[in-house]
Amino acid sequence: MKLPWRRADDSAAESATRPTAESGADAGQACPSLARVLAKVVKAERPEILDIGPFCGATAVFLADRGARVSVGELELPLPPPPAEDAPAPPIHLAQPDGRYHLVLAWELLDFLPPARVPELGRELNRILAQGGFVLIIALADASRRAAAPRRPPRYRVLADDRVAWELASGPPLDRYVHATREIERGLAPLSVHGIHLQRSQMREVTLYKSMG
Amino acid sequence: MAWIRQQKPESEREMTPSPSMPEPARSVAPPSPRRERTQEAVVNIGQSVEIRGTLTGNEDLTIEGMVDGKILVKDHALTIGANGRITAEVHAKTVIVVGQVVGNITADDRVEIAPSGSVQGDVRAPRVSISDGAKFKGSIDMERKPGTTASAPARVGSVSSAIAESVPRSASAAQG
Repeated sequence: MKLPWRRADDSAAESATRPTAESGADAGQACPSLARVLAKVVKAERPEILDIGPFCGATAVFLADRGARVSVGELELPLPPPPAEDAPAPPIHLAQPDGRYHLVLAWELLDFLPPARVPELGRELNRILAQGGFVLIIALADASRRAAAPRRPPRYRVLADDRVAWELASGPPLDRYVHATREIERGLAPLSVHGIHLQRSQMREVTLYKSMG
Repeated sequence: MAWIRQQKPESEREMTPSPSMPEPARSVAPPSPRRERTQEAVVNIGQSVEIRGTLTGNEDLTIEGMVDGKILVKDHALTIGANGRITAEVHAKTVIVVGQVVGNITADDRVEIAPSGSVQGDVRAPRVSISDGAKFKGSIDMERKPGTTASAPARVGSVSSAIAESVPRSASAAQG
């Protein structure tokens, strides 16, 4: 009987046929919230989707092939510091027009914003969303504070409607913040929480929507 | 029933060399006419060339220089080479970006942005492929013209192939 791991006396040919960790990683992870919002969004005629996470060409092409017009406007992090020590920091501004998007993919960006700046992002998201539009955010869950080690915001690659993979971009690591669910709800108001899905990896998929009228 | 054997014309008959006939030298065969035609149909705009205005053509075009204005090669392929710097509206059958483009790109067939490519503008084409490492700011619209649309399975295939192209096996990591 062949063992599923390599022993000292395994031949190279045998070990080459063994499944590797990389091939499992390529399959990605489930993202049911993405499937749910896509199912709603792609019903619209020529839906507009905006990805403000680190740019991934495959994600943009995937969504465009689902019939959407996909815009890419990465929110650059870290946010610019205040011009002087006592001056207020420049507000978060998204360059996109008002009321245009049916879906905004923010991926993990919220985890890299200090709690005090979350409302600024919420106002901007509310401004650019069309009535009934959705925002998808993936954020560390409250119980995972230990896991909030600094790192770069990951680049999300959509593999299927309900599957994503991610990879860390190169560059200096950034501080991560764990926001309680109620802080997200308050901070991103007037957007309303549509659903929260907690993954086994202690990441929350949070979908929010802009109410009609 | 009569059997009719068609006689091949003289030019198509196989030439079997007789022992007395010297064998023709095969290594000096002239290049095929098709190959010559392909080479003629590609036009290069060199690195030192700067063009301002509208550039139109009926041949495949490779640009290594600078163009500022508008490029129209509607039924042909346009390649922006690694040294190409384009600030223009672009319309071609196929557009391959290895250099830099600032402006909207429209292609009747496909747009490819290579890992070293950079596009700032809107891309409109039935098929789009963006490699890892490419820079892009703008929007992608893959609206297909009626009658030229691929069937649903083909669309899925084209997406998966685009992903397969750009997924670095060792770099991607799944969570959870």
